[in-house]
Parts: sequence; C-alpha cells; structure tokens
Amino acid sequence: MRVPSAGVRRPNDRTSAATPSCHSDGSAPAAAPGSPVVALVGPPNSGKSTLFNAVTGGRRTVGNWPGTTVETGRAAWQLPDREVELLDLPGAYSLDAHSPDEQLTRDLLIDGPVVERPAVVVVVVDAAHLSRSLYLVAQLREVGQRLVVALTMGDVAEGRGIGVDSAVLAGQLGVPVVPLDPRRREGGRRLAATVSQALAGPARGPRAVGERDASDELAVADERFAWVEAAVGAATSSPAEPPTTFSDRLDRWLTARFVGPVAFLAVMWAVFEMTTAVAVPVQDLVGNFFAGPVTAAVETAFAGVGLGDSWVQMFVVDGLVAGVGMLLTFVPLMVIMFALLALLEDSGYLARAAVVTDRLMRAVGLPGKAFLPLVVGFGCNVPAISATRILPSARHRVMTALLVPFTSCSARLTVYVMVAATFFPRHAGTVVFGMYLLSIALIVVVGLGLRRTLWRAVGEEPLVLDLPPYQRPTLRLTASVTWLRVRGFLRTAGGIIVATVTVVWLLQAVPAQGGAAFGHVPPDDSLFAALARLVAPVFAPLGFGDWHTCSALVVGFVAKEAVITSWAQTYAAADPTAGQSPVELQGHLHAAFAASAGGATVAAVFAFLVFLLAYTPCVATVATQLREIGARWTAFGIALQVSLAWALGLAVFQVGRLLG
Amino acid sequence: MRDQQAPPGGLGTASIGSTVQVTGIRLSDAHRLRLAQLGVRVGARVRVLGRTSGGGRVLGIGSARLAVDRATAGRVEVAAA
Repeated sequence: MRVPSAGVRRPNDRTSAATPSCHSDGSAPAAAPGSPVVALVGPPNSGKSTLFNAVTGGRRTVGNWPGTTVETGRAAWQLPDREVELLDLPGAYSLDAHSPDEQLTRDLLIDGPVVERPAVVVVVVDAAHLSRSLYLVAQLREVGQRLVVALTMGDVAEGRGIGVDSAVLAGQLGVPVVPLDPRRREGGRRLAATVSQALAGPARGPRAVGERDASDELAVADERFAWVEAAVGAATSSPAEPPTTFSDRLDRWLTARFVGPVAFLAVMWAVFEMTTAVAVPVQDLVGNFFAGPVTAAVETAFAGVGLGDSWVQMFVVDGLVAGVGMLLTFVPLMVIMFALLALLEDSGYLARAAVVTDRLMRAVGLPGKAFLPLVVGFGCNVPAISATRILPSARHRVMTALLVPFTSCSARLTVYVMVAATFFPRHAGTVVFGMYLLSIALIVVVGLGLRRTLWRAVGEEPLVLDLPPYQRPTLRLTASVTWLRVRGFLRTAGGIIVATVTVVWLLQAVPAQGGAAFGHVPPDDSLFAALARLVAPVFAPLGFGDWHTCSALVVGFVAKEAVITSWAQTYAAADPTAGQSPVELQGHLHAAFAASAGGATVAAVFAFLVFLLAYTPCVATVATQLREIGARWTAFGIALQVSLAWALGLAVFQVGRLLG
Repeated sequence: MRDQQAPPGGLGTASIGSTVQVTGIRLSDAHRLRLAQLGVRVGARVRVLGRTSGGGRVLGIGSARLAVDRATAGRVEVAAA
C-alpha cells in the first residue's frame, strides 16, 4: 500500500484488498505523492465506475447493478494543468451511514477533519433519475465542499422524453454541471477542465438551509428533498405520464410469479451449457498442445544441454508443464464464463434475478439483496465475501459470508467439467447444471439450518431494490470486465498453483523409504503417496479412497484448480511415457474410481463431485473470511464445510451403491 | 373502475397499472428514509407496474423503477392519485 499523501486521509486498511481475489482489480497507475485528491461519489448504477475507468484508464470492476463497487479504487488522473489522484468510492444514495460502504464515504467526505477531506468531490448524477441522485449534492452542499456534478445517462433520459438543462441545473445547485457519456468515453476532457478550475478557485460556502429541526432526521431529509425538487423542477422537462418502456414490458415477464423463476433457471442453464459445450473442445486442443509439442520441445531442449532425464527436466515436464499447462487449458472456460456473467451484469438482468430470488432468500432469513454476493460467488467466492458489505446488518453479513463458500465458483466448474466429460461425456452439461442446482439447494438448507439454530431472532430486512433499465451491453465493457477477471484469476491462481506444484513435486521426489534416489522415486514409494495413503481411509466410505484422488482433494484446499493439476502431475509421474493429454488422464481416472468404489463407479463419482462442491473452496476464501467476519466464524465455517461435505459424500455413495 | 379507487390495504393491494399517491409509510425511520431517497415518500405519485414472483411490486416513480417486497408494499399507505 502506498504511503498516504497530504491532503486526504486514505481510506483505511479495511477498504484495501490485501487478500488476493480471482476478480482482483487491475492496478492502475498511482498519482505522484502530494497530488491533490479528487473523490468520485454517486448512487449505484449512475455510471461512476465506468467514468472512473474512462478518465483514468485504470480498471475497476463495473456492472449495471447495485453493490458492484464494494471497495475503493484509486488511480492517477491527468487534468489540463496538473495530475490528481482520483478515488472511486462505493456507490451510495446518501451520506447517511446505513452500511459499512456508506459509513466509509461519510467518514471520508464529511466526518473527517476539513484538512483531510478531498480537494474536490465529483458527484456522478444520473440524468434519468435526477431526484434521487441529487440528494448527495444537497448533503455535500451543506459542508462547503468544492463540488462538480458529472451528469451521466443523458441518452437514457432523452429516450424517456426527459430534458435536462445543465446550465439551469448548475445555477440551481450552485455547482458546475458537466454532461458526459462515460460508456462512450465522451466528455472526459470537459470534466477534467472543470475539476481543474474548481481546484484553482475557492470553496463555496454552505448552501442556505431552510428552517428545520436538526435533531429530526426525517425533517432534515424533507428539507433536502424540497431543495432537490426545486432544482429538478426548474431544470428538467418531462412528460406528465412517463411512457411504458421496453424494460417495463420485459419486467412484466422476467419478474413475474411463474415466468420469472423459470426464466432465471433457463438463463442460468444456458450460461453453463454454453460454457461446457463451447469450451470443452477448445480445452482438448490446448491440452494436446501442451502434452505434445510443448513437452517434446522442453525435453529436446534439456537433452541439448545435457540434462535429459535429470530431476530438473522431470520437475519442468512433470511439474510445470503438466500442472500449469493443464491449468491454462481452462482459460477458454474462464473467458466464456466471465464474458457471459459480464453480459448479464451489463444488460441489467442480474438486478431482476435478485428480485426473483428474494422470496427464496427470505426463506433462509436473508434479504433479497444478499443474493447479489451469492451470485458473485458463482464466479469467485473471494469478491463475493467482500461484497457482503452491501448488507446493513452485521448478522446478515456473517450469515451470507458463511453461505458464499457453498456457491459453486468457476474454479470448481473446471473440475466438474473435466470429471463430467470423463465419466458422462454425453450428459456433461446436464451434470454440471445439476451441480449448480445442488449448490443452490445447499445454500437454502444450510441457511435454514443456521437461521433455526444460531440466528432465530434475526429480523427481516425489507427488499427495496433499484431496477436499472435494460441496456444493450457494450463490447468494450464486456471485454474489459472479462479480461480483468481472467487476468485476476490467472494471476492469483497462477501464484498459488506454482507454489502448490512445487510442493507436490518435491513430496513426489522425496522417497518415503530408502532405496531410491531423489527425483527417481516410483510414485507409489514417494512421500506424497505415503501422506495421501494416511488420508485415504477417511474417504474410503465415500468410494474414492484412492491416494491420487485424496491427494488431489488435499491440494484442492489450496485452490480448486489444483485438483486437476495434482491429478495431471501424479498420473504423469506414474506413467512418464504416456504424456499427460486429457484423454490419457481420463483413462487413469476411470481405472482409479472403478477400483476404489468396488465397481460402483457412478456413485463414487457423484460422491466426489458433491464433496468437491461442499468443502472449503480455497485459501484465498479463508483469508477473505478472516478479514470480513473474524477467526471464530471462519473456523466455524471451515468445520461446517468439511463435515457437511463428508456426510453428503457418504450419503451419496452409500445410497448410490445400494441403488446400483 | 378499480384502478381509480383508493386501495384500503396499502400499496400491496393497489391494482397493477394504477397510479396512486403515497399518504403514509409504516416503517422504521431508517427504512422510511431509504424509501424516500428512492422517491417513495409522502405525496409522491407511484405507478404500480407489476407483481414480482415473491408477491412484491415493481413500482414506477417518474422514470425510475423500484422492486419492493410484499411486506414493504403493504406498509406503504396510498390513495388514488
């Protein structure tokens, strides 16, 4: 973390992502120390994060639904006459602290000492929803802050017959107003010039506040609403009865009683079916490339320098090429998955999904809003746990953070796809879809269990959710979000995988007993096999007590991607002449499951998949939970996940075996 | 016409497609403030656009769209606009 520069108190450590995330933000260039700080604030869905990216070239996760920006972003922003540091604060309708995000924004903008506040605050205001966007301006005008209003969504407003006169609005608010379109990167220079002028000029005094009882929160709010309505009335023209829009017609179906849930399931099924159908053939191509030409080239290179058949060559071929190469075969899967999720976010559909699932969430004692972090969890659990901060109640945050690990993240998807393609090649998509349904069922059942045991007295939080208009996703936004997430996934997973591969290879290279040299140990005699055999009896009643499978699950505690790399490594080491193409690995898995299950292969495979779904996702998730809910709840969560996974795996195998 | 009549049981019983005026909100101060910030406050005209799968309502306040759950809708008192 950079040393704070003068002029503003940095958002403190609780807002900085010290934990790796599969969806980690890009690292935008930072401004020079001592640069003035400009803060960007605004309601969710106002285009704030998109504006941040457009003007700084930095990258933040952006999306068309509430709560996307959970943590602060920062990047250097070049104005005409100087460089400033731009802070992207969490989305907030007001500075009233109802959630940790709003508390943070309030701390930074009005509760902190004047000298530590940002030099200028840019309030992003949605032209199509002017009234609600200006409440923040009303509050900030009471503290004499240098303000600039960035007016976005002009095209949406125009489409609804709403005209906004930005000059009149500026006069009413007493603040410069800059119309712009960050999605198309228009107006950024005008905003930079205006902020530059604001920095050079004096701060305006606080606005005149009408008579109000400062101790009555609602009376104070009413005065602000009246001030906002006066400004909106003077600066806008709109039809008396707003027309019914395309979004309204679509919502009549997509949020409706029966069609809504069916449409939601259909969308989710289509996403996962497309992911598997398109990605699997590409995965095979990439896998064969690593198993064939890359392995051959590496072996030739080692032979050329006289290290052929050495332990160094074995480490590179059996460790790095087999393990990391296999991981890279899942890049196409990640690209498709993240692109589809980004399209759903940007189109506005995910907010409707939260409405549809509200009743389900309510049944487990959570507000519909809790669905948002849970949906994020299907991509990656790490940002999902961070996203629980959008929930105002601490108990809801803890409960949601405990449920997130049961959302089936995309890393687990890689294993499902591989296992399903191996054992059920004709029904792989359906098996994978079934895993997602099971994941949802687990969330409901565990949620109900927690509610009836630990949180019997928790009250219900009402659902009040903004529905942004549907919009055609932009290619640039979808591509940038996808690239950001894939890059974050590779960066985080890559580091963990390289460390894991090294440890696993070392354990494989060390003989468990005398008689073999380092690096030339038969797999069955290695320290790795000895340790895995110690663990194997625990999984024997579940039908997969084979040491390769058990060691893969142990390694999978580090990261789920490592399950496959561990298999690739152990089987490649077992049969060096076979290479490690996906087809050969599939053969090994068939043999292993058939042997360990005593013939009940299908039951054992399903038990394995269920165990994989339910046990602890990865070390990064544990680290994020520690940060968000503390050690006690994190330890409780791990114990819950492992014991539930084992019990479910046992039930699936034993019942499956009986049913034959 | 039912659409023109004041629904006695709050917003939850207002018929789909009707436009109503908010006359009172029976929620805690924090939740009232949150609704007010999103445009649902005493005196506001609200269009009831649809019924959600959980029994809640999709509301139109100007050009904004808001989904509220069944219990919340029932605590917003309205009269015909």
